[in-house]
Amino acid sequence: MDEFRLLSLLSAEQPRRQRVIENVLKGRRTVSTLFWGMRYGILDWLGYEKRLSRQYYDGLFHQLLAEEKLAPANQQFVLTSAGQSRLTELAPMHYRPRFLGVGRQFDGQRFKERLLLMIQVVSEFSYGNRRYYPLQVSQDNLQFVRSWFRWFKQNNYTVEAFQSELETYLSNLGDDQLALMLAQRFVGHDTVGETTEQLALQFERPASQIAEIQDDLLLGMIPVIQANEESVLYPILSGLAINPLSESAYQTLTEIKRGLTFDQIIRARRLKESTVREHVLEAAILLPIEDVPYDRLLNEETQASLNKIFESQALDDWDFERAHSKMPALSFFEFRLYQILRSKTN
Amino acid sequence: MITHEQLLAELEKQTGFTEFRAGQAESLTALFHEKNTLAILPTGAGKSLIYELYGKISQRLVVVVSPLLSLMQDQVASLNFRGEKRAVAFTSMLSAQDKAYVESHLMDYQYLFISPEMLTNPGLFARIKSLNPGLLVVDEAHCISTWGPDFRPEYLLLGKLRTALGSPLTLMLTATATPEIKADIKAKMGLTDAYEVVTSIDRDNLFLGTKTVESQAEKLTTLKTFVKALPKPGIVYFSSKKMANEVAEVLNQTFPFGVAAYHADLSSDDRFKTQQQFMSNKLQVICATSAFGMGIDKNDIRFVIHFHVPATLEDYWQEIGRAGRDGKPGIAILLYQKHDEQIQLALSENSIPTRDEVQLFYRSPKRFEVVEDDKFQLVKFYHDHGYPETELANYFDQRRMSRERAIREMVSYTTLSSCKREMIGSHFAAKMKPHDETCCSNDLTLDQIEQLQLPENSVAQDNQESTTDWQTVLSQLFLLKN
Repeated sequence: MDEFRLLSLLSAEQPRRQRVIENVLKGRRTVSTLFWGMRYGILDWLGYEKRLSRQYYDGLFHQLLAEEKLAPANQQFVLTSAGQSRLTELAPMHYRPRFLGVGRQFDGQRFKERLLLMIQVVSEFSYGNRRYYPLQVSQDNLQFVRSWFRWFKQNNYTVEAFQSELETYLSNLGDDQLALMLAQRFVGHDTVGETTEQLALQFERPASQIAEIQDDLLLGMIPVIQANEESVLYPILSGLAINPLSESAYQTLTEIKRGLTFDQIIRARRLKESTVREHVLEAAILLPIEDVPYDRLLNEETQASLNKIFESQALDDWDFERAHSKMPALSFFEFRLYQILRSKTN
Repeated sequence: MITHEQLLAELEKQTGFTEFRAGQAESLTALFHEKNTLAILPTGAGKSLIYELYGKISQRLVVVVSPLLSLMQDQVASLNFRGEKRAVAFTSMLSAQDKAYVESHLMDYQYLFISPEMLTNPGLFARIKSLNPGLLVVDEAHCISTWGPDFRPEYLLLGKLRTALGSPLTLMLTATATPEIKADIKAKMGLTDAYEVVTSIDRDNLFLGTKTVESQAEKLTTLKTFVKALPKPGIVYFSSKKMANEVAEVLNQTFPFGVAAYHADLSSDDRFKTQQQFMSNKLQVICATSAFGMGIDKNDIRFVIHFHVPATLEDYWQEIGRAGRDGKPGIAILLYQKHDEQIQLALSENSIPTRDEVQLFYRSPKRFEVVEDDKFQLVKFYHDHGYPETELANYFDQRRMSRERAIREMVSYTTLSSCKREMIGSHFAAKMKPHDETCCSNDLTLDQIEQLQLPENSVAQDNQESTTDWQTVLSQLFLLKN
């Protein structure tokens, strides 16, 4: 987290909450964080900086306020024109991750460990060397790569095929500098690559940025591999997909699709009603519109009334109290669910 | 019973070596005679070979209790390097998933490295016990005596844990131990009659130099002068990560050869790369905290410089032992500025609980049910194991005093004008080579260094130039058959 990152997560048009941005970065999955994260269009950053410290974040925030790069707007904040020009000024020295979304669908850390070890193993194999220090990876990844490598040899895959996949990816990045930064992350026979500090000197960027670029470009390989079942790397994806929902939320959603009512679910699974509602809202925010049976959850009449009440109002400004005064039977759950639905259809 | 010839045959079969180094055969023979053994072997003497070979021959699980994460990882890496895949380090760094994996596949491993804290986990302990380990190894066994009481109280439970494991055959390993520490290790392990293997702790190819400076600036200048003059590779040790970073940057800008920092804040990828680049001499100087080098098999390190005084002579002797493992001349240099020891004294002051803190805890232990603070965790440990308050408070006072004494001793080594090697010898009650011009200096000069006729620089094995295009990187990575 630095000045650039924080500025880039704020907007000149849409006032945003200090805590929502913080909680998104830290990966706090409350419905409120998820909802506003979706509204701000920053959900891909969910959990990007799990260890962000409150003190550091607030310090940075206050500094930007003091420098008038941000301005308060109704307990929220907008970028000022000074903030916008600062953002433009900083942009060339900073990297905007290209593959953030992939990191929400796949376990990037495990992918990275597997891939880098595979590269090392194939590299040493190509030189016929069996005595080397393997990269330190988790036990299950170590076992994974061992069995992958057996598969690789049994199926007569070649070093050429392996190398050419890496080559194609690097070449398709269309940026030799980025490709070099990534290639220097690889380790193999008599080539240890360069540390992030060494690359930082070479490319005149902070070391933290180098690591960020490398991690992002590694993530970018996932969709390429996924799209090619013939890939020698295809097995690497096994077990790496992340379920966007918790198991319990997923179960709730399945039951609702099967036609169970909230009451039935609550009784059968001894859940609180609020929990079931949170499950549904979480699913609505995180899944594509067709995966959630909105019509079963919100009757036509409710949808029509809400539509009428907020006809001329921007979605971010919708106010539950206002709807509630006109529709006394309306729950906050229905209100929020409709708001999500409209966010997704707009 | 296994004969010496059989041992030699196994050694050659497993490692390709045709002869043992001092202490290895004696330790193995003692173990195969079912004798619990305390082996004092200098750093780099191949301590790990003893249990490695024991495991290979006996084909039984070897459990190695080890104090440091980085050390365990290095040891597993070394075993992997030699083709032994059935080795794993079970540490707090493993993910829950990994822990479960290792626990359920425990029988597939021949060598299990584990911290004392992890060993106290009941589930895992039961699994290990059920596998009936053939050998329990306590690596860096001096920690039982020197670290255990203040930092790692679980070390004090090792004796009990051993009994609970069914008293397996035990090997205690350390590089440095005074007679008191040796006695203490054996007592705490409940193995007062353990067989002792002692080899010379002296490293007679190392010159011991110190240099007192007046200011931080002079220290840095002196460091630069020495680093420039000395043959490489070498290591400079620091007690802070920040200083290690800063000095690495300065040296890197000053000299044409590669210098890098190494400490726990680096990512595991960067640690790996730094270590490997140092192994291949692409990096010639490492600015490190003490985490670096415990498990490194690099025998051509020519110098070890300490930028800060270590906490004890044991630590110092251990750390400088990384130089000159090839038997060729090497040099250990300690830079000292008056009051440098204040850092260590303050660290010691802050890490041992005071009387007030002990009292506070004992008054309402419930308040400390969940406690993050290291000191209160330590008090809690003793409290939970039934130590009376007064006894504990006195005990911590003693510990504080003995830590201070150790630091003062370290400082007196630094400024000692008579023979430094002799002082080390009397500290460890060990026989050292007699003083001569290749022994030590209390005011190290470039002239003295020159007279030592240290070997030439080790040359980088591979191309030192950074590759500037990714295509070349890829083509170097893979040797294509056509």
